[in-house]
Amino acid sequence: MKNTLAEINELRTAGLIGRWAIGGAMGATFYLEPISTYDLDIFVLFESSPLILTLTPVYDFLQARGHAPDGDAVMVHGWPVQFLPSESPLLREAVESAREVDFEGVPAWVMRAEHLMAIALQTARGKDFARLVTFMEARVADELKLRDILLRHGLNAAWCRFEQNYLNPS
Amino acid sequence: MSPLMQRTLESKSARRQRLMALPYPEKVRIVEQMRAAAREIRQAEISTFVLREEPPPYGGTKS
Repeated sequence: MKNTLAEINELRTAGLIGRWAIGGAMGATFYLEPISTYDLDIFVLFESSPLILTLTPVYDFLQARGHAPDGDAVMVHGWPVQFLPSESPLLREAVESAREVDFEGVPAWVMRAEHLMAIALQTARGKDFARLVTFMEARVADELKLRDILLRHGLNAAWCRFEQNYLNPS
Repeated sequence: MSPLMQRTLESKSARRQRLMALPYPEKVRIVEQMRAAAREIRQAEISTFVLREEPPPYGGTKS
């Protein structure tokens, strides 16, 4: 994955994307045990907000460097990379406050545990709830930070339902 | 809960803790191995011959 991350950094150097961060299962894997997943979710910010947001320049740049499209992703050094524009306030904040990690000499950014949890709660698929339970069991999140994020992004009611259904089901 | 089950659960929990504590690149390598295994399983599913029988004619009319 080192070479994959290096290519994503090239996109930033070329000015095609702004800040970026790993989210989804590979983001959660940073904090939890390894999670089986097919693709690498890269959440991106754009420096300027075009009227019509398109990822075509990103795909064109990667294709010119030999990385072929693979469904709705691009295969970059063996990893299907899915670029996800961080348009909502929660996603934007998650990318802006991502932690920098050194991946075998390549700088990369991973969303913080509290943001990954809030995004999972908002996405609300079965696997997101399962991941949330794992996050809670692992006690890797700062509860005060999580509560603050949930409150500011209108996710308190969803969190109460999650707690009732999955953490205190009796 | 039986002592055996108790020990098994504790051992699983300890294993999960060890996995969580691994450096990120090491965890990524494990995910890559899991992806490769999943690909092999998918390929095996595609290439496996499945005998598809006609539905039984119970209650139907025989031609």
